Amino acid sequence: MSKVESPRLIAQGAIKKKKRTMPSILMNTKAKVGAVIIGVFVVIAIIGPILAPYNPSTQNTQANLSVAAPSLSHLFGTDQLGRDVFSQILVGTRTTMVLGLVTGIIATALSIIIGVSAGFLGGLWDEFLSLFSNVFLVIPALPLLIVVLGEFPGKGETPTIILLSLLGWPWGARVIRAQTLSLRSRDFIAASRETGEKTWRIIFFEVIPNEVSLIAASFVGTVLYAIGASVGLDFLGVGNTTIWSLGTILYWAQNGNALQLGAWWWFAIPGVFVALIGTGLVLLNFGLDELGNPRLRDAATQTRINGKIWRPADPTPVMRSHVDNKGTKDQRRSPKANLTEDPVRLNQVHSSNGHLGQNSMGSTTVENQVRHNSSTLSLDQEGQ
Amino acid sequence: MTKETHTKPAVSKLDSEPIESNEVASAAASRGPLVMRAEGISKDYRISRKAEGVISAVKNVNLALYARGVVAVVGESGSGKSTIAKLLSGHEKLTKGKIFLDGAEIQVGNRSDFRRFKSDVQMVFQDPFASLNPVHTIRYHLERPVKLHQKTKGAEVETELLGLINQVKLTPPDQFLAKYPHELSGGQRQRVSIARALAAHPRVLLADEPVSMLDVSIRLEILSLLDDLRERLNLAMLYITHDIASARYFADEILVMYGGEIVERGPAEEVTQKPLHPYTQLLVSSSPDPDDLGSTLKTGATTVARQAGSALTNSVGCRFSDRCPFADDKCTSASPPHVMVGSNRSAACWHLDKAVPIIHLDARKETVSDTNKS
Amino acid sequence: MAASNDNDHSLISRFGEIKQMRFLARRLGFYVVALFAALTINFFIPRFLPGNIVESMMAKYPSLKPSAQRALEILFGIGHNGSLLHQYITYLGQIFTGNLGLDLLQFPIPVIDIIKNALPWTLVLVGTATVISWVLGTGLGIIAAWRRGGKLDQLLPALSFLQATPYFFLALILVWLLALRFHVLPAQQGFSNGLSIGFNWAFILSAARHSLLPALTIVLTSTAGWMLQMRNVMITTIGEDYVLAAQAKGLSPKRVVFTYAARNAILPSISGFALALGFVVSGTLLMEIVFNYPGIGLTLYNSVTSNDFPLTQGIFLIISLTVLAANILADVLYVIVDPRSRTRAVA
Repeated sequence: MSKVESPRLIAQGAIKKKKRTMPSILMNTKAKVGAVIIGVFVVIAIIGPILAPYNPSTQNTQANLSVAAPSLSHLFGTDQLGRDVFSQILVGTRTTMVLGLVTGIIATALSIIIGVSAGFLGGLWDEFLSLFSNVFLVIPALPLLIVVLGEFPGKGETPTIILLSLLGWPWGARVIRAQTLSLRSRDFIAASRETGEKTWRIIFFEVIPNEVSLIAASFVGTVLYAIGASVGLDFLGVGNTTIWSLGTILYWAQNGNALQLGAWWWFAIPGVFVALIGTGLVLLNFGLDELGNPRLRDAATQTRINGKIWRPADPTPVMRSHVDNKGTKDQRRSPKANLTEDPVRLNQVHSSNGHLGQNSMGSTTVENQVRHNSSTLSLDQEGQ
Repeated sequence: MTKETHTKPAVSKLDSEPIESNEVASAAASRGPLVMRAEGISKDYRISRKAEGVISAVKNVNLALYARGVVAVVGESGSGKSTIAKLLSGHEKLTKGKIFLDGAEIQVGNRSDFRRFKSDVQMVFQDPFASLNPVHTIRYHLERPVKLHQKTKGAEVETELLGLINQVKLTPPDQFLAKYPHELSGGQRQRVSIARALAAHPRVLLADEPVSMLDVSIRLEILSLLDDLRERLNLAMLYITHDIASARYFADEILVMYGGEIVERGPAEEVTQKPLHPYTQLLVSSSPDPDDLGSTLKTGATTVARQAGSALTNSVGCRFSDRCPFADDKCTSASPPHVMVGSNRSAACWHLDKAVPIIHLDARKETVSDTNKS
Repeated sequence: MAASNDNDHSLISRFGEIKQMRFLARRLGFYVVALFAALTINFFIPRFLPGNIVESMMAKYPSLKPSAQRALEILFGIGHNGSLLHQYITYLGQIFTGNLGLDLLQFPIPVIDIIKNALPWTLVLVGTATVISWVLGTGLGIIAAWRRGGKLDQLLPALSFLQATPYFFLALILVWLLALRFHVLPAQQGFSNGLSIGFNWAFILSAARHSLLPALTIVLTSTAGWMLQMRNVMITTIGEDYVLAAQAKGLSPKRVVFTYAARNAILPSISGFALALGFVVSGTLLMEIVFNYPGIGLTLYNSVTSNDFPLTQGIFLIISLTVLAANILADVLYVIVDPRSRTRAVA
């Protein structure tokens, strides 16, 4: 080690910094909040239908109970047919959550299998798979879903799950493939070959463990997509309207002119529930992002120089000699205080995933981009 | 070599026929029996569909590894030295040539062949930071090769692990086994890499720039460790480096590579003390010498990095000619063969008589007049 | 040797060109395949669905003349027109001449005319809104990354909420609040009833008013998404060494942030933007339903619910084509903006 202390080392000693010693997901605020939200909804999904005071489909056609505002007997009010909205929401949450979860699992499993094998085995297999997944990405999902599901009414949620999974795996597969490609050329993979490991063992025990945070983020993103898509589909009335889900409630609300009737409890509450679930997932994804990419971590770990937050793009504070009124240097000021004013790079953990365009930018951002618009972009570009 | 050969052009043997360099006996041969041999190996990479669109990363290289002997391959980036390691370790396929292990030609057809080959020939990688999987403990890294190659189970594995850790002098062993790579320093990680290679109980160790990415002060420790292991385990070693000074310290024989070809070979001490080939002279003179800081200026060869000579297979002429102070038409039109200088030295240059006396580190005073001679 | 060096240079740069051309050719090949995939799916949908489409349509719309049956059969190639392959080729031929068949609900208006009427509504509204939200979101994202820990960071949870909200739900809320409770903006449709479509001032004004709520919905939800993405990418970019080097050179912070960091960070956003344009057509379906906005999404929905199959097929095709076109645009943009993608080294 060099004997000369670099200014950076000195600065690090003098700068006050909150250190994150254990970068576990539990310490991350965003992820914590997100996890709590999702946890609450999981609980609701599990015990909701048991807690529901009424059968959500029971109609009460008395006039005073139709589109009634929230009251003690109907906590979230009633809909046009006098059905209890509270019960509908409790039951519907389970349907929506289960659908999201199952679709997420299936689609993520597919994307892992396809993404890792395409990335690792390469060659013709890779070409074929990328063509395949690109085609899936390009096909407009919602119209296709509407058209196809419209022809399978009354079969429950299963067709929806299957179709959403089939349309949902390409995003994750793309991201996982890119990550696998960059991992493949890493020395430790060559080293495990050197040891004589079999290829399947390398894939499962060397490659995939390095992708866990990516897979987790992809899973969360897929669940988000599934819930959003299914709520949208149910809202349209595509598929089964007799099964209660959060989207179905909105469907009835739209058809029952809830807006015009000003029945805010009927449409606002279910919608807020969906939004909350989504927010929880997004926050969770943020947390996972920050796990994998330390640069994104909280503002709490920012550098404070002499009390002021120093931001990465701020101008470099220049060293000054302190001059008092008499024009002589104030030598009682510790020289160290001055030396602290040099830009210290925080969180300079260079994720070995390399440069932009790959996963160093966090899976959420990639997921976002891909979710927002399906990216057919160069599977070949992401690997370099 | 005698003093006589310092002042006279040291190539009185030029009159004899130029020889193929695999006839040059290796300086490492005295250490032990022959273990591994490469004969005329070449590796080409095709970059375009044209006939001339092929790059020779390695061209017609012969080398031999003996038990307890160290052969160093020295060259700059792009000289092909890492490719040699990949060829010898089986990671790349040969374009031409053969590799022999214990006299038998190696054919790596399927995975079990490869596994058996790996039991004998192991490689240590250059980058200690990248060659360990960040999600696994050291224990896992060492257990895998032990289980794969030694076929031991249960308590024997544990003994084996402890033995390995102790061999590379990482103590206390239990602590280290439980750690993750990011908790270790570069030197420690490299020790783990070496231990991992040794877990297969190999007879040949290919070290691809094992200390290049380590702090200078740690390099000596790791090289000492390798030396010690060589002695105790009777390993045949290939030491690849860009630093000719460390090769002098560590190796028995030095092979100097440029542009995929071997341009000079010989005993380590002699090659570094009395370099024959202009490129070797360049390398040696570029090594910082605290006793004489001006020595880097004396060489006639250019130290400026220029586009290296054409790496294309079909190009004719010596690859070093555009950086060589002695180059002439003969050099650009025909590739020089190896010229034997002594029983275990050779260099490939048309103008050894001019090139030789430029820099002799221990005979500087005498060579001034020689320079004027040419 | 010098000559040989020149050969090397030219060979290596030619090599780069060759790789680039091959890359583009491969992309083009992919798009052709995707196009055919879309066409083929479109071809097979009516054949996979239960029942004989044509007959059930004839039964549903007794006003259809027998000639309609023939027309439908030609469109779908059902029944008497030879092998499947032959039908497929006929179908392709029809597509390439722009013949998307005749609409059922408004027989015999050609499908393509209906599409032509609806498409501009969607394109103008959603296209403009997408552009606005992209510019706004990306700009805010850059600022949020620059001023980390500042005021914008406090908005992050709110933005996450906005992004996670299904946008049609946001539309519902906005309609309720702004149109029905407070009567600020019109709740439905593209323009007020009674006005004729044309370039007259009254119509344009009305159309503009009616587009405000839908546009607001899109902008609110999309901006959040762009901003979050840009912020994350920017933060990663600012941490790179070349930004540090730029600062060390003494460049002004503004220059560092925009010319160095943002220039690199914007790459994924640009390609995302191009792709978003592709989804302009298909992604706003739900919103158009909420607002009863006469765009192509609403048209598609209506055609599906009324089993107006030719129209459904035609719209589906148009949407597929638009998405493909947007993807091509995204690729081209990416190649232009990112120099690394232009010359690829030996892979």
